Amino acid sequence: MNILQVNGLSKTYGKGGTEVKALDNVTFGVEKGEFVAVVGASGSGKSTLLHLLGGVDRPTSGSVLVDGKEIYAMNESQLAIFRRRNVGLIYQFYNLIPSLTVAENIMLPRLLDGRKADKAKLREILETVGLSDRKNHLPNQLSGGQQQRVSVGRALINDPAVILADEPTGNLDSKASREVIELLKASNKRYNQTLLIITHDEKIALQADRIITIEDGKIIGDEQVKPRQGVGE
Amino acid sequence: MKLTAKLALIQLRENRRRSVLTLLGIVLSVAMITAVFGFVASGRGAIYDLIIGQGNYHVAYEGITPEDAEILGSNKAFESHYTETDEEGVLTLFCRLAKPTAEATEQAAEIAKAAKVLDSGGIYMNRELMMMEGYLPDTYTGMLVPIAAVLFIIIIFASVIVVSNAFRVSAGERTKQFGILKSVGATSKQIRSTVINEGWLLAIAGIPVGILVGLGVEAIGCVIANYCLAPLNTFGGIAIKMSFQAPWWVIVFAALLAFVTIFLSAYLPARKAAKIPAIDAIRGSGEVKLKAKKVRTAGAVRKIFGVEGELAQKSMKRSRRSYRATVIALSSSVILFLVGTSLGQSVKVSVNMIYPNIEATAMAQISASTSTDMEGNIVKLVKLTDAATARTLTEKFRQFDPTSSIKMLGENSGNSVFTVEAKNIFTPMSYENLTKDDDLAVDDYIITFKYIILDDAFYESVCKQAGVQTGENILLNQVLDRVDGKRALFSPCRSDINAIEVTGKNDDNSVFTETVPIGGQLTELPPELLLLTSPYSVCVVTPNKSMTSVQWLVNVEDSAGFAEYAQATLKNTLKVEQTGLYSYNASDIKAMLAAQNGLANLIMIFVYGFIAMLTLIGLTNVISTISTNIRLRKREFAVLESMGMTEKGIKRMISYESLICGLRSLFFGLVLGLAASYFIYNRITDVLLFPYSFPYVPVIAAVIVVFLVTFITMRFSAMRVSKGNIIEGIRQSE
Ligand SMILES: Nc1ncnc2c1ncn2[C@@H]1O[C@H](COP(=O)(O)OP(=O)(O)OP(=O)(O)O)[C@@H](O)[C@H]1O
Ligand SMILES: [Mg+2]
Repeated sequence: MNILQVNGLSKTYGKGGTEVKALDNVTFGVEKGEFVAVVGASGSGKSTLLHLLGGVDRPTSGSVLVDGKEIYAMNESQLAIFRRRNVGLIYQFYNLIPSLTVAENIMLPRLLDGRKADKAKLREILETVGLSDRKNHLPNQLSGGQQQRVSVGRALINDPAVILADEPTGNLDSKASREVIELLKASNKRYNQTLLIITHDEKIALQADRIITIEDGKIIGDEQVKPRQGVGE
Repeated sequence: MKLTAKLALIQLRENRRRSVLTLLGIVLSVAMITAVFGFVASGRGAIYDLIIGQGNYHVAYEGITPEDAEILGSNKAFESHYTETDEEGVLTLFCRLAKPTAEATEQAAEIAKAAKVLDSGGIYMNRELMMMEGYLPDTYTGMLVPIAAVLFIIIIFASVIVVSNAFRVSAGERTKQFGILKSVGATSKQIRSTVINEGWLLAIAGIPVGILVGLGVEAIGCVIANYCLAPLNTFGGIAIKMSFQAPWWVIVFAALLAFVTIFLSAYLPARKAAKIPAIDAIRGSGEVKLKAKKVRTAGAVRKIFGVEGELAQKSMKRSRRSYRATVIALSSSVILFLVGTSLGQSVKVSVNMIYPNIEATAMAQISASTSTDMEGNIVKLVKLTDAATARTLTEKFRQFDPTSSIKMLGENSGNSVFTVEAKNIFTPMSYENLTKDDDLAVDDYIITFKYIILDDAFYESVCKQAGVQTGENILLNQVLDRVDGKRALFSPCRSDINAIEVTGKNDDNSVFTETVPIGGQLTELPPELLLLTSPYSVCVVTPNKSMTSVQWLVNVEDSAGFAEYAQATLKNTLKVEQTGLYSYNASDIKAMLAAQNGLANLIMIFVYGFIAMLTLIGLTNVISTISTNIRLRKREFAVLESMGMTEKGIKRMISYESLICGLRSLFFGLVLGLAASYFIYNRITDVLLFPYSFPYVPVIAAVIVVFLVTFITMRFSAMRVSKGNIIEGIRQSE
């Protein structure tokens, strides 16, 4: 069964003359443990799709099923709990809480879930994102790339079933960029997490199992790059 | 339109809600200043009209001859004059000085001397008018200066706070915007110009509306005032009327204050943005503390408010600035409320004290006093009312309405005065109290002595209460006085007094002493007798003695009719001409009280109106500050939600923030507010004595309202903010 199933998903902004169809009747499915890259021109609707998958936006029509559950049929607090347990969202524009330190920002989803702060896990994540010496800094004291890495760390802390990353390497140099992708991939492998990355970087896209291409809100390409690892084909 | 003006307009339109709240603040503050000062001006005008109505003159020359009046009146020193002749044919010349000075009394005497007129007769100054016109230091207002100053400070404080806070709460956001402007090449001058344009737009929209609202409130106030003053006018036969006034200085002052506050408040974030590098302004480094200091969380907070409480605590500790506006708004509202209500309470108590409620609807009185020279020698003898005449009068008064109750209270304080040695009569403690403030620590401290003569029924009841036979003398041993700053009842005299040595003067100024035997004491006085005693005199009730003065307290239905009847009765029975030393009259207390109540009501309406306005301003301020603050954190809420915080979690976070904001504001507000209210109490009790009472009710009301308002406003705004789409929430505040 697909962990993610999208049926006839549409999102329209505005009305009448200024109407923008950011997403236009999109249907596809993603299997558990799959690594999918989403590519497309700027303004094609990638972020919109990702937000809808993460349950932070509301579609104009269509449905999103995660693990067989229709997420937009849930009420607000069910959806909130769903998000913190199942989805790790990495925003294009980081969206860190300004009054919390690096460590506190990363720990946030875990704390919100009423779980104990896991020191070992935090240390591990800080190390991998390379922010061990910055853990007590506030977001406005960090560089753009550093903030991006914090948001990656935050998405990983809860070992979510699905990781949705919106240009997670957009502000990083090639080395840091490689490290973040390695981190996401390792997590994807180790916990059999489903990973969906929006990227403009061809090198990253080519590492994925599958590449979905979007244009004007429609899927115009969906190709399997390599056979799914771990699933004998 | 110039670019900077356009940018200003965009700023205002973009932040429509904030602009509306700021405008509301400006309107309220301008309205309050206009209304209060306008009302004061109208009141002053009414008093001026009243004084002018009694005679438009500075100097009066009484007992002048018509020829002299002619000469003096046409003197160049006067700008106008008129004459009046009274019933006895005494001519008085009334003049207005052309150039009055502070030494107007000497001035008037010199003019008369130079004109060689007026060897006899008197010169009287119309001090009230000269005070009103500002030629003499205003002693009446002088007494009110501390209170007026406090009011003034409160008003200024409230209006500055309400306007500046509206800006303060969004200062961070504005600094960021200015930073962006700066980074795309706006010069400091251009940024300043944007701010000034913004200020202009707000001022132009808010100030005129505020002035109109204020004048409207003032006009309503005048109508209410005249309604309250009506009984005073019917009773006193005077014509005091508040006519609506809108002096230009009130309007200019209100507008100017609002102007300055608006510009300063709008300017501060701009100046900050100008000072720091553009990128710091954009990042808002100043908003969140640079040092991410460790925030310890108390176990209790975690237990009750969970992770959300912890988050709230962190965000409050690290971005103090955004909470400061809320705390300032809340605590200043608490201060204003406490100051307002305690001012109201003090005024209420004072009003009740100035006009005590006597259980009588009418009264009649005869009073006589001896004229003495500097050495205390009798020049002109006092005319006594003998007991028989007093009794006759009592009977006649009763005839007017047999159902009425009448109490007669007579006094005999001797030809000049009766004296006794305090040491022999007072307890050691009250003797010490009496003498301690006196520099002349003499051994034989002398105080006055009074005989008190009552009507038969009253006397008998007093005898009964004191447990003595009729015919005996009874010492009244209870007075009302300030002890350690408090008004209290106490008994100054020793309890074992059998006789009192009284010294007095005979008609020929020779001194005599007599011994007054005391049959018993009364240490709990009926209210009528308490009016007669004082800590500086000794009063003894005695039967059948002539009186220097006497009054009848009458409880009668038709008080106005009685006053008229009693006046005629006094005239017919006494058949004596009234002089300065001997007079009688009857009056209608009921009407007088009605007039006084009208005045008291007026004062209370003013005070409560004032409190209501302050509370309104405070509430606007608090609501606007809190809701803006929450709205500015829209993105933060959205992110928290997208991380999986539930609605319940957000509610919990908000509850904790409300609690902390409320507690902190109450701490500052109560401490400063109580201090200020005590200060006001102190100033007022310089004039009147009454005990300080802790304002429990206002304090409890303040605590409840603070938590309620904070909680409701925060939750309401947060719910509005967190409703709907997360991603839109994140986007909108970008
Ligand atoms: N709130 C909104 N209101 C109106 N139009 C919007 C809104 N959000 C997005 N759009 C429009 O929807 C379209 C898709 O936007 P989206 O952010 O998904 O693009 P994207 O593929 O992520 O682009 P990029 O690669 O530049 O991030 C764009 O044309 C955008 O202008
Ligand atoms: Mg995007």
